[in-house]
Amino acid sequence: MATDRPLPSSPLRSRRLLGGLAAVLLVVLACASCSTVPPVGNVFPARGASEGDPLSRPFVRILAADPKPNGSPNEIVSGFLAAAASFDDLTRTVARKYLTGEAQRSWSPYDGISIYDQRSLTSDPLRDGVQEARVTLRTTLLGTVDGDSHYVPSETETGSELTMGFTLIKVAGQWRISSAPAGLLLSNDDFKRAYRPFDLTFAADGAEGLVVDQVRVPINPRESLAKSLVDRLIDGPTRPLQGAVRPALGTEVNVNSVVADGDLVVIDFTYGIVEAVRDSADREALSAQLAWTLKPMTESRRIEVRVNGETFPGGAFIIDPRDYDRFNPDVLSGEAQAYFLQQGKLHVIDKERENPVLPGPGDAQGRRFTDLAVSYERSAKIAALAQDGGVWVSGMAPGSQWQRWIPGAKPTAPSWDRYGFVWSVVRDDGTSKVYRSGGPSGPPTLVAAPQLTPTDVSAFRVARDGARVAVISDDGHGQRVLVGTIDRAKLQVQNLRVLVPAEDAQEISDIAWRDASTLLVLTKKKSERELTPWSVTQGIRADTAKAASRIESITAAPDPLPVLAGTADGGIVAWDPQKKQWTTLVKSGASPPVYPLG
Amino acid sequence: MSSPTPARGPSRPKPKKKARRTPRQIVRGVRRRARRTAGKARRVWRRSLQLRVVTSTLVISMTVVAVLGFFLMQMIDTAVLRGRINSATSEAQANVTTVASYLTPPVVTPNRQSASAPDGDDVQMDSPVDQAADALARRAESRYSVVILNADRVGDDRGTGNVDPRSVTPKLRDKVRQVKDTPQAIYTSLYYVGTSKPVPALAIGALVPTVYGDYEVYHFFPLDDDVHTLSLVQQWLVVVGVALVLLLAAVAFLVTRQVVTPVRLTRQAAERLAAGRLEERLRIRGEDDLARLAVSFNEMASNLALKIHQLEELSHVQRQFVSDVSHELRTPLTTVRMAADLLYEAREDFEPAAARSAELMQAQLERFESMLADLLEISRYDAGAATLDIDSVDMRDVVLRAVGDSQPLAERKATRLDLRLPNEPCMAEVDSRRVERILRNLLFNAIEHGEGRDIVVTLGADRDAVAVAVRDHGVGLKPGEENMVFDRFWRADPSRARTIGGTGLGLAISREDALLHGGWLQAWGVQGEGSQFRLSLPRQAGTELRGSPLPLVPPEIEMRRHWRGAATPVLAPAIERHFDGD
Repeated sequence: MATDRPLPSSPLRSRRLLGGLAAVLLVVLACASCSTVPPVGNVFPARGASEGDPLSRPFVRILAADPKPNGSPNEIVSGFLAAAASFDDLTRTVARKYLTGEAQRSWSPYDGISIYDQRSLTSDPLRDGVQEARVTLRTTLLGTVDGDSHYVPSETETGSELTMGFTLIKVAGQWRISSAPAGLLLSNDDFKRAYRPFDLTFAADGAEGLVVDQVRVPINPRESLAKSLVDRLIDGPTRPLQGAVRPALGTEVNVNSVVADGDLVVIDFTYGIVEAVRDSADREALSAQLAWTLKPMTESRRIEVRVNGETFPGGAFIIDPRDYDRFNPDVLSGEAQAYFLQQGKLHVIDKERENPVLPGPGDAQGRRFTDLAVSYERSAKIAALAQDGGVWVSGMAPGSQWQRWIPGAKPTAPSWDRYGFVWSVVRDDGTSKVYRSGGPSGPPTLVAAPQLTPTDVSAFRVARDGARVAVISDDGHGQRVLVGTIDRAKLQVQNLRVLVPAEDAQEISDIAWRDASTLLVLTKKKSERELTPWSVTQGIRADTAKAASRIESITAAPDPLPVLAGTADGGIVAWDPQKKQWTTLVKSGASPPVYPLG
Repeated sequence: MSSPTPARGPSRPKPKKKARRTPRQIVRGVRRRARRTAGKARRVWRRSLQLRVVTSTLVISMTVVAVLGFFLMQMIDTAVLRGRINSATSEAQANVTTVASYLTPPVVTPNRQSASAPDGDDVQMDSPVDQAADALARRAESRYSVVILNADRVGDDRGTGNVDPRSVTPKLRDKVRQVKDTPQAIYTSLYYVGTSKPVPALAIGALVPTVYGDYEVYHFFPLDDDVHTLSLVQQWLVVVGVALVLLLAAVAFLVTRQVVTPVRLTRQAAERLAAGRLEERLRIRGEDDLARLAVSFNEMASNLALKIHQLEELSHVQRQFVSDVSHELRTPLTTVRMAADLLYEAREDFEPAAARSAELMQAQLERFESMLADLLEISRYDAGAATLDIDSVDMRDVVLRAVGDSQPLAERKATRLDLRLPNEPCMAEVDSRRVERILRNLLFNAIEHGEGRDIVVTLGADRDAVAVAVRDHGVGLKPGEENMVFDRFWRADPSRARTIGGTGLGLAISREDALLHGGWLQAWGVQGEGSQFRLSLPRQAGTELRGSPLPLVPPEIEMRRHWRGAATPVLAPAIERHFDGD
């Protein structure tokens, strides 16, 4: 019996042990769940919630201060300039405190905006008892902002000297400005602080495409930058583009708010939007416009259009930016190919396959073609100048024939627009005539271009967006590059402005559209050749010039496609942005290469 | 025992029109109602154990939760805000260093390139303060706002984002300019341009001395998120606290219910048991303390029932015994009686002593016979065999018959019987034989104890009842004897001999008779004042008696008592005398 006793108790003891273990485990688990930060765990992406409103950008404001008590005339003028540069208040209430009563009435911040650089203030020496003082502001004028918030650089590239005088008198023992130059005077810093450059896009007339227009959107601390941008978009294109594009938003529309809501950007319009997009094409154009204009802010977010805070009548109006990639203002995508002619045969530039011949175009029939141009359509066409005159066009499909579309002894190199028309300028009787042709039958259409008529046009390039043209023209004072727009309704080339001014002994060899807003200009100055990208929308150099010896002609396409050039001996070179040098693609015997359009 | 008359409640005449009540009356009414409600609440409070337990649980848990929540909230507040201050301070200090490096000329030039815009925007400022402000704006994004002020130079004040310069309070500014080395912080309101509502914020100001003068850099860290988080936490704490308190109250309610319900059932069972329902038992559930209470209760109840049953049996046996004995005694008694009668009739032939014995035997035999009859009668009552022979009779006749029966005895005792009967007939459904017997008993009793003084017999009637009161002016009753007089074989003074040969069962039988009618037989008596016996009967047999037409206490006694209470001490002896002489 004594030996039996432990036997029944041993399973009992083990059960009790198990129970104790379970209790200990429970306590440990409870303690573990109590600790807020686990000591170990899985790896997870350290992506915090992005703070703030994605539709606004950080910005700095000048805090306008009241006039300094007993300030010197210099200090009063500096204070006035600073207060005028403060954009808290459109009517510049604080800046007006620096003015005498009379000056307050005559001075207005709406009388134009001038941007200057390198200011120096000098004041006449003060003598006791003098009640009037003069302060002179000497600066370099950089440019102005015109009425539709478009920055216009001053004509001379280095800027012009500007001298402005302020007169001050004592009011109640304090110096106050009695006469100030009209409008706002902003330093370059002030300008950069108060405005942000944005590319607006507008629907190209009659095509699925957008045209870029650059404006400076003023920062308003009371509303988001996105709302200011949409507001500016409603105001329509800047003057150079007017007539060439179709603003899809009517003038009866106002924007109430633009807010980001998670993955959605909600744009709240007034009811006018419903009328504006009654047509499905308009709706498409508006969607593309909003998607591309707001792209820098919305990134890949979808956009919802609402009407006075409610869902768009007839179903939510949601714009997915990916659906509007085809509206790219640059038109060409990364897969575009460049072409050249060699011994009358059309080649595609393809390094890996040794530039194969395309069998498509018809027999040259003994003519020698130069200055190739390729259209960008479903069934693309090529245009070229024949040695014996005229612009000839052939399809690229097998069995096509060369046909003459524009007659003329010495037309400029043909240029395709996105609508399938070929353009060329023909010098005739000492005047230049711009022709547009859509086919071999009948005479080509004469397009009015009053500014070009008296000049000698050596190149005429329609931009890929179909709205802008770039021209090399010589009015007798040297060659310059003009940029204008095409009004397709009135059939005229208008708003031609100088992009590259004429310089002594400078010859402009060639121009080529790189993307929607960049024009490459090949200049030759005393056998020094340079290739300079110019921003068409801003009217300034977009980048520094690169050396381009031996190069006679250029063609370009949007990034990442390389800039191609034809050399004097019939070679083709491509610019390598990494090595920053030209690399040879074809040694000799080739005509200058071309990308479609541009 | 008081007269039941007041219980009937005299109906007061109703006012025809409801009079307008004065404000004082209204106030009084409200107060009365409030008092009544409070009284009701107090009663509920005193009576409900459950309510008391739940309420005290609520109060205690509320206090505990409130105190705990307060301290918890304090701790969370401190933790959140301290973390915020630490990160804000380090950020502000880093920014101050950045500003200082921008505003120190030799360092600016090489730094320019590295400070260029990170995201490609071509915003590259020329003036150092703009560069510094720009760098700070990029770093801050919308997390905080920076204001740079320079009191010495004109046009060098900068703000990032849409911060309003009035957020910089003069208090902070003065302090920052006073204490040059250490950054100063303050909780303040942050204003934005274009919105009027300020945001709670932490402001940190620091002074950056440069060659251009002293720049003051103020950082504003909006705390609205933290405030929101904290208020959310607070709300949750409140919600959880309230839920916890309610849960505790519910738990207390359930627990007390588990205890209180069996106790309540036990109480009800005990009440029913007390009311005589001896078969009442509790249901037993489980084996806990309450179940054991129920078991004990049930045991107690069954023991009680057993005992009562045994006692009932015993008393039944005894009654049976008495009845049997009475019956059995009758036969020999009859024989004895016949023999005694013979002896009694022939007594004149006996010697005087034997004749006297025969007379004595005759008298005692009569008494023995009547005692036996009474015993039989009472045993009939005990057996429940007594029945009423109901007939509608004029009570006056009944009273007169009884008085006529008692007249000889009264004459013998030289007692005058004073009858006070109503003029009109006084009909009642009664068993006239039994009622007559009651009255006879009462009268014999009164004559026996009346010491020769007048006896007043009063008949009263009202709509529902009739009553007969017999008043004597004898020795009266000692306090507490009002009920004992109806006990069997009870005598006021055991030493006193029975002169009229009462059996000692008369009043007991009378009471049984009255009860059998559904009426009352009550006694009143005061030593020296005499006594009064009142018989009250319903007019209609079977109806319940609500009150008696005659008072139990004789009116003159009542009146005297009243006067004595109301009289002044000076007059008291006179009244005393007056009544004593009456």
